[in-house]
Amino acid sequence: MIGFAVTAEQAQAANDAVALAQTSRGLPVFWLPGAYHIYTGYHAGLTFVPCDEIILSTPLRGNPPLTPVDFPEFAEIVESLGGLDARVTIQPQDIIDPDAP
Amino acid sequence: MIYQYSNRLGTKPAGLDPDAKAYANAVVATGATVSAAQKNAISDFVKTGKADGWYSSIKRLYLPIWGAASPNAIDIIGLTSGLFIGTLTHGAGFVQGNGTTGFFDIGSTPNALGMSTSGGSAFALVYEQDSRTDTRYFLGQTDGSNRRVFLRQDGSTAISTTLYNAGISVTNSSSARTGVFIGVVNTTSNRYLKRRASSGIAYTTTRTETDANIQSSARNVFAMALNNNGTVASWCDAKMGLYGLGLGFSDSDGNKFTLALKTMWETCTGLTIP
Repeated sequence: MIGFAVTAEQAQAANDAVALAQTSRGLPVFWLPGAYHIYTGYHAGLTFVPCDEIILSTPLRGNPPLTPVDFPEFAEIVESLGGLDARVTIQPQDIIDPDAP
Repeated sequence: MIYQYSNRLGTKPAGLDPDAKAYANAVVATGATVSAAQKNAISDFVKTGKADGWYSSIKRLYLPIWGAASPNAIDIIGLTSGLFIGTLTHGAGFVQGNGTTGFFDIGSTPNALGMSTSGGSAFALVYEQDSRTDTRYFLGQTDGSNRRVFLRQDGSTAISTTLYNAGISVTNSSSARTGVFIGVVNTTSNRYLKRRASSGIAYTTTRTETDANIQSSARNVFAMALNNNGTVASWCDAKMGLYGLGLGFSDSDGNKFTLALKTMWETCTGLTIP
């Protein structure tokens, strides 16, 4: 999985900014990239924010549909996470809580 | 033509149902296109439900066929928006999580929707099965006391549902993981799981043992994953044509409801369930 491995605070701030980009336009919050604690692997302890090509090209709304990269806030949000070049690849099982029932 | 005849016979009022029209308008407001045929299909679904008497039992119904997140997040019943999170594909006629991060938060709990052991349901149209063969949730939530509402695949050999119960789940040992599924509780001793395939009702599995009258928690229900007491888990990568939650349905109404769901989705998408 491709995305950012950042602090929980950075991940929350990024998701909050994406939510604000929607509410500031009078819209409900209908899409977020998400934030997942990383339990295992090299980035254990950090928080994963998905940012793969499908995320970047997600059709959101409009005709033709706008994608996240079409919004002016996109560059600033990505920069707050270190920029696209800072993205990492983790394994799906890394975000699964090993102690979950 | 069939629609015109039904109107003349007085079984349904003429014109678009106002609730269906409001939903279509909400979808259009997001930039999506709703054809006249799609509007009629949605309207026919609503009119059928109102005429049959089961429409008021639907509390949330999502039709994620529009190819974009905003229209796909709209609830037909209340016109509120749910929330897509993570990596998902918004296809023509379905939404598909990636099986590792993508899911949908309906933004409400079973209790808030009025579901109880006196009446609850979870339903989903699965167009293409999950690529994995372990436990994956079409809809699900559980709390710290293991009070659960879910509809899921149990590996590659069963579908199961649990609604507000201590220990009695309804399971069907079938390898079929596509179709229209509905899990229902009508009383503490009246539960069933039903699957509708292209050929009709494939099975209705019932459980009549009396279980404890346990209410569910204040956890939101997720689609395409499980809300495991606040942590997302067991993501599903099946292609989902629709999903929702409701009150109870008699067996007869469950047959009618799943047929109406199938008809609406197939007419709107031009696709057919396997």
